[in-house]
Amino acid sequence: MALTRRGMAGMIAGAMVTATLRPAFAAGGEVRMLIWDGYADPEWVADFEKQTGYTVRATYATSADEQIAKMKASGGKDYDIVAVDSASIKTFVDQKLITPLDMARLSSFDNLLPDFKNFQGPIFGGVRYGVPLAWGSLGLVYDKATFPEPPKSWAVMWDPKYKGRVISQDDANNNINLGAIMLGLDDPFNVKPDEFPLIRTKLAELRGNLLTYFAGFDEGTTLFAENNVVLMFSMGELSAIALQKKGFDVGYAIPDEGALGWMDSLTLSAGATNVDGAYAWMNFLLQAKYGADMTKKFGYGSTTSAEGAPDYTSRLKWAKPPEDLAMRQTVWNEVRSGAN
Amino acid sequence: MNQRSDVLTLEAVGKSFGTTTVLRDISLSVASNEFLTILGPSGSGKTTILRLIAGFEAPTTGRIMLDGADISQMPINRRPFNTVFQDYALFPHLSVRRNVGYGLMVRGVPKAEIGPRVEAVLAIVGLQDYALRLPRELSGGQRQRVALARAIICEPRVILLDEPLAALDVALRAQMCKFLKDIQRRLDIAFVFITHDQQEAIAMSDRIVVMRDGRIEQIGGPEELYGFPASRFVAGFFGENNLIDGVVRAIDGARCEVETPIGPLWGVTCGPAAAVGAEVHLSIRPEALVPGATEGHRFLVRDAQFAGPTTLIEAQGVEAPEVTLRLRLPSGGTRALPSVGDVVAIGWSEADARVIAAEGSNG
Amino acid sequence: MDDRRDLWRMGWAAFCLGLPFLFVLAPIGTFILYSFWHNESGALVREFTLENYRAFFADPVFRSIYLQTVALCLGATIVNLVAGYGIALFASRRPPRLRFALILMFMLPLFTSYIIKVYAVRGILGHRGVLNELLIASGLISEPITAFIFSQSAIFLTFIVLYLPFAILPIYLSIERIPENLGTASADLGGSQMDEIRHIILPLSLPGVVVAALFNFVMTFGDFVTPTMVGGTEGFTFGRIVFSQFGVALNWPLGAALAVILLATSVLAVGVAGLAMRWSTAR
Repeated sequence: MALTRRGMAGMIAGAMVTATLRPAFAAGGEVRMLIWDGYADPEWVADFEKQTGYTVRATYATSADEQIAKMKASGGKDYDIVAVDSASIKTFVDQKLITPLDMARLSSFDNLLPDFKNFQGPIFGGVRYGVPLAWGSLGLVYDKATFPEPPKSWAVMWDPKYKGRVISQDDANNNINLGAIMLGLDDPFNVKPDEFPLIRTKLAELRGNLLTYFAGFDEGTTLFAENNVVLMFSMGELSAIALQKKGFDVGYAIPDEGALGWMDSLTLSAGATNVDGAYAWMNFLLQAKYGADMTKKFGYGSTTSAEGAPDYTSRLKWAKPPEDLAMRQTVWNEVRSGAN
Repeated sequence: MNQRSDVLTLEAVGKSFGTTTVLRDISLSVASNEFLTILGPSGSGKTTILRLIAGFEAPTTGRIMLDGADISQMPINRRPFNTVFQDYALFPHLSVRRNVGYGLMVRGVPKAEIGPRVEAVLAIVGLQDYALRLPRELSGGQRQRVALARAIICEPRVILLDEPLAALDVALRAQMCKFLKDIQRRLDIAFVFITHDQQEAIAMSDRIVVMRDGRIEQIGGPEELYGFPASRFVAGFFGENNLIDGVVRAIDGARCEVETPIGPLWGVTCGPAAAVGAEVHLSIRPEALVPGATEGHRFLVRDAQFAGPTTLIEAQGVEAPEVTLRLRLPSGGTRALPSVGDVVAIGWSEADARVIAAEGSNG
Repeated sequence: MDDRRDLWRMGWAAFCLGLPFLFVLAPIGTFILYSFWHNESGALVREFTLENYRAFFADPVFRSIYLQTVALCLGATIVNLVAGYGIALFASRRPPRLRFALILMFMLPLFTSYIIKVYAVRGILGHRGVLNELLIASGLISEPITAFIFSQSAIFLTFIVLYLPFAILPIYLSIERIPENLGTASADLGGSQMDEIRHIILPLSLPGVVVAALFNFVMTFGDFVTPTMVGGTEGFTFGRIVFSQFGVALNWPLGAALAVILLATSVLAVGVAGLAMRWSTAR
């Protein structure tokens, strides 16, 4: 569970339709999808069903663990399409839960913006297992009254001037990633053993400057709102949007060191029974029109449309599976316990 | 009563709970070494009197005096009285030793002194060997003794006992009666004993206060109440007395002539004076009736119950079948007992026939 | 008819025995089993090992957090026992109607969700919380006091608010059960109110105190949400470490071992409580 953003879109966009959507005719059969909130908007589904004659059944997961458990339970036979995040896709491939894509059938691939065409996340051994659909980042939320200009560096969180007015995620993996980014490591997802103590020291220093840690998207925005907080290592663009909706004048920045990015790709289940339907959905959804609509409705970055999208994709470090989760947890426990 | 010195006096004490009056105009005194029993059916107010004396309740009217000083408002723990509760109220978590020593402990008596005093009191009640037991490890009679020991160790002026024998079986009750009386004599202090059992009252008391509906019905020694009940209620409470209904025809000093179904009879008034024409009862104790008398009224023997030393005979008037008399005769007497079916003449001495005012209810 | 009744009876017995087995013993058994396995590169290895327990005793972080948590929870438990006893005793000495109202008032928080209560506490203690707003409005302070929240003392305070009803209720019920005439007897024998409380009420209500202590200690010890939400950077407790092994590090065997240690601590508390019951009688 590298990035804990699941479920936030639902909170912003309101109740989602999770029920089966079936028109009277069912020419092409059912396309079954294991996806995240916001990836099968009822309007798009209606268009799709009208155009193709397929019906759509969407199942929403709240964590990658849950996805893996669901996929393992049936050997993937329950689903045709899975939306997998970049930190988990290697596990899906290793466990043979998803199958390579036939690029000849993925006509919509050309619709991708150049950056995302070149994204290497879903490619293993030269074989493509997924096509990027949506992305986001874990950036810095800042109070505009305190910072007229967006902060250029994460170091501002360490600034004693803001002691007790900074909050940060209570998540081992994201914090180690942040520490690694702060230290300027080449690969924040592959920390070397001798680098961990440096990260620990860095994070321990941050601890002293914090008001508190927060767990969960809502908790973060609530804490920000209630306690004169000016800086937050956030759980994504939606944190800023949520605070703005509450009337707080905040901005969202990706500092120059870069920030963690997440990228979800659509993949083909190893047990897919409706392969034609699965490609039909991918070809349908990966159009600029729907990409723009997704950004508008749910705040996710789109891979097919730059409309309304932020300009910082180049500074994002796309999440990958970390080198040693247990080690990260141990280091994080040390930071949290104040044992340094 | 010159020797008598009163330790405790109730002066016109009344008690109400809200609009319900449970005691009215109670005046009585307790002598310093007296065994006083308050006797009455449940609801007669007898327990309330005890609670007022102990201080668990405050009187609504009247005063409670100790050695001539008003103690009506004195807190419970300052009164020199101790109570033996109906269910003993032993402290379940404390051993016999600690239960008995409790009164001394809270008074700050040094530990070194408490030990020997507890042992001495336990010896009095015969529980030396039970000092370390918990109440739940004792029999009912033993708990009773602990409760008593706990009360007497404080050397109170008066010990209050709230139906302490009610929970015991009959055999044990008789034994405890004797035991309580012995202790009271040995300690030479006042006992105020609450009961609804007239046998307990007769067995132990120097004086008995008969309660009825929150009032004192009669105060007197056991023999007096037994022999000369002042009311049908008291007579009924002491059980077996024969009551013959009638109307006063003539009055001659303390003597009355009463017209009854078996003819005019003379008796002695012991309650308030009766008036001519008043409805009364003649009360005659069963053992005062004499069968085979030369002068007497003819009765048919309906039943004879052998009861050890005495035999109880029930006989119905031949001329007045509505009159039934009970006779208690010595079983091994010189004269042969009448048998069922015999017709006998029954007589009695005029002095044994008491005239009691009749009343609507019989309490 | 008889057969059917027997069937019912057997079914009921199976239900009564099966339910605790299914929902209590089986999960406990499972995580005890897990605690003796270990993880190797993300995969579970089902071989007996004491490694997880060794990890607990060898790791200074685990040990110091464990001890800190025990101290924190013991402290909160003691405060709640004292406060709970006072309130229960006070209530038990009121007239029946008032007594009921008082107890109901203190039990009211039990009818609201746990998380709402934590948020409510935070709403009161927060930098822009009710308490600070009041103090600022009254002119006593000009800047919000930040020490109210996001500290160990905030956890302590929240524990007290959350778990006080669990102290009051068992104590109140055990005081209520003491026959009234024992108090009367104490007074009759010359005892003061203090004597009655010290020598009669206190020892006889000890079972309630023990249950209250258990509730408080076990519940605070296992609570990892309150420390996270109000403890700020100091809000790291043993329950939180256990949670992180399951939810974040995905090291179930280690998490299970730590959970066993948490459980063992609670069982130990039950044992100590059982011993404490012996003090209630005096020969």
